Amino acid sequence: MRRHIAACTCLLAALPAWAEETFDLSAYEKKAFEWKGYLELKPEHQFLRRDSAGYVLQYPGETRRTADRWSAAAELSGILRHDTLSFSFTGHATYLDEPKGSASDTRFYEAYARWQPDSRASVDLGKRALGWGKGYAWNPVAFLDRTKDPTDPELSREGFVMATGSLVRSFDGPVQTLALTPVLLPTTADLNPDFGASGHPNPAVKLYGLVADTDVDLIYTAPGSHGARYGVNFSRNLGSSLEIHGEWARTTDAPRAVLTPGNTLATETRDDTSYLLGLRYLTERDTTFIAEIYRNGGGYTEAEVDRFFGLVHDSASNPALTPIATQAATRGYNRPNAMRNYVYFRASQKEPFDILYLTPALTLIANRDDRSYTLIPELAYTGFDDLELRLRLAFNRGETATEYGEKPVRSRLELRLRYFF
Amino acid sequence: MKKLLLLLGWLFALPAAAIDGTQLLQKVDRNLEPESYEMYRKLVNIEPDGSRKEFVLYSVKKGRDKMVALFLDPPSERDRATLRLGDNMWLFIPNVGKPIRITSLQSVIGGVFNNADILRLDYSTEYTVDSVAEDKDSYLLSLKARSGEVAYDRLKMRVDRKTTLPTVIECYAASGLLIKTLTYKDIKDFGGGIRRPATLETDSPLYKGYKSVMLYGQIRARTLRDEVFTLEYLPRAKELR
Repeated sequence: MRRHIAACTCLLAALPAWAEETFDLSAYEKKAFEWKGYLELKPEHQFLRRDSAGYVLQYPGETRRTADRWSAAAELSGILRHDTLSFSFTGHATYLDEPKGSASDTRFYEAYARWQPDSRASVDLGKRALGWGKGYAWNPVAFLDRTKDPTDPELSREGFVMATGSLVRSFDGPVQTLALTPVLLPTTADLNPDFGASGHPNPAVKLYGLVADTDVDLIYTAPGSHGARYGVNFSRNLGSSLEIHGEWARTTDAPRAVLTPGNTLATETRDDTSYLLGLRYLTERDTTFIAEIYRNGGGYTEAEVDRFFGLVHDSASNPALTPIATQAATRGYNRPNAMRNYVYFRASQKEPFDILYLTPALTLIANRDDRSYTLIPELAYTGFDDLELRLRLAFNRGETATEYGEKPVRSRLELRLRYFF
Repeated sequence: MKKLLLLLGWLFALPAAAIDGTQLLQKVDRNLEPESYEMYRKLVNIEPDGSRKEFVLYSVKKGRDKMVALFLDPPSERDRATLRLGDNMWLFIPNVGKPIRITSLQSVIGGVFNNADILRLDYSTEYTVDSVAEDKDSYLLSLKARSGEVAYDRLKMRVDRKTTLPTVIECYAASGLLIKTLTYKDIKDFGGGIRRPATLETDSPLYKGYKSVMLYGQIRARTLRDEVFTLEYLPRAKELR
C-alpha cells in the first residue's frame, strides 16, 4: 500500500504544470456594460539646472538643486451597448505633488455615442481622440488631435467634441480597402475652446486606402478656427522586419507668436510645410529600432529661440520682463519641440538574456538645429499579474541657449507603477 | 501469413509520391478549423519557477488570409487587437488610440508565443509540402515556408493517419535551428462537425525550462464581411463578439 502511495505521489509530482489547465469560457461572455482601467503611481526625482531659462520660469527666485514630484493617476474606460448603439468613455484623474504645490484634475478624455448599423458604417457623436497620422513620436497631419508627448508617445490623450462618420469598403485587386471619415469639430465659447477661434464648424475629411499593401491617408480640414490644412501620410512594410512611414502636412494662415527685438509679442500669420519620415526595424535578435526625422515648419528658428532665452534670463534680474517672458513661453516658445528640425531614435530589446517580460529601451530625441538632446534609458517589466513597472532615467543635454540645455531639469529618475483592473 | 506480412510491408513502404501532400495538408487545415471561423483561446506561459501568465484571445478568420485577434485578458492587454490581411499586419493598442502597422515578426505580447502562434493562417496557405513519408500510425510532412514573411522556415509535421490531425510539429529556422516543438493533444468535440485537439503545448529549446500551452475553448464556423478585416474596423474589434 505504502509503495502504491509513493508511486502515486511520484506520478503526481511528475505531471506537467499545465496538467490541470482549464478554460472557463463563461467568464468571457460579452456583456452589455464592460469596463477596465488602471491606477498609476509615479515618484520622480529631478536634478535641476539652476542657470537654465526653464528654471527661471519654473522656480523664480529659488535656489533649490533638486525637486521631488509624486503623481498619481487613475483611468477608467467603459462601454455600454444596446443593439446598434453604444456609449464609450475614458475618464482620467490625476494628482500631482511638487515643490510648487499640489494640483489635481479630473476629466473625460473621451465620451461619445456610436451608432453602428453594420460593419461598413458608423456615426460617432461626442468627445473623441482621433489619433491621425503614422508617425511614432510626432504627427504633423494630426490636425484635429492634441499634441503628442514624444518622450511618451503611447500615453492616452484627451480628445475634442466632434461628430464623425465612417464608411468603409473592401475590394479585390490593388485597392484593397477604402474608408471615408468626415468630421465636424464645432467651436463655441464653451465647446472646444482650446481647439481654436470660436464660431466655426471646422469640417474635415480623411480618405484612407490600403493600396498595393500600402496604407495611405489623404486629409483635408477646411478653413475655420485655423486656415485650410492638407495632409498625406503612408505606411508600408518592406519585408518581414522593416516598416517605413511618412507624413506631409501643409497648413495655411497659421498664426504664430513671435518676440520682437523690442521684447513685445507679435502674432504673424504664415503658411508652413511640415513632414516626417520614419522606419521601424526588427532584428533577428528581437531588437526594435524606430527612427524618425521631423521637420516642424511652424517651429522657431535658432535666432528666435535665442531671443526668448535671453528675455527669460534678463527677467531674472528685471522682474518687469517676467510677464512677457511667461506669456511667450505659454504661447509657443515653451511647448515641446518648438523648433524646426528633430530626430527621434529608439532601440528596445525584447526579453534580453531570456528574461521574459523585460524590455530595456533607449530613446534619443535630438534637436538638429542646436544639437541639444534628451536621452532616456528605461527598463519595463510586465511579468507580474496586472502590474506594469517602468524605471526611467532622462538626461537633458545641450549648450547655453539650446532647447534641451535650457530645460529646468538636467536629469531625472522616474519609476512608474501601473496596476490594471 | 507470410504473404500477408509481405503485403503489409509493401504497403508501409509506399513511396511518399503516392500521397498528395498538398491535399493532405489542406485536409489537416480543415480538420483543425473551418476556413472562416471564430475562436476563443487561452494562452498560458509557465516559467521554470512555476509562475505563470495567462492571456485570453478571441479571434476571427475569413478565407485564406484575413484574421483579427483580440485580447480579452489580462487587464493590461485587454482590447489590444491585431489584424492580418495577407502579409499586412497591424496592432491596435487602446491607449495609443490608433492602429500601427507592424511587421509579421514583431511580437505583440511577451513570452514564448509570437505572432505566428496568435495569427496563424492555414498551414497550406503559409507552407508548401516538400515531402511526405509515412509509417504505421502517421504521416510525416516536411513543409517549407512560401515566403520570408512566415515565422518558421520549415516545419516537420506528424499527422495521425486515423484522424488526419497533427500530433507533433517541429518548427525550424532557415539555419536549421529547432525553434520550438508544438504538441497537439486532447481531442475534443467542439460541435458543428469540428472534432480536434483542444490543447497545444509548446516547448522551445531557446527558452529552456519555459513552457506554454494553448487551450481551445470554442471554435465555430462564422463568416463575416470583408470590411471587418480593415484598419478602420480594428479599434472596434471587440464588437465582433
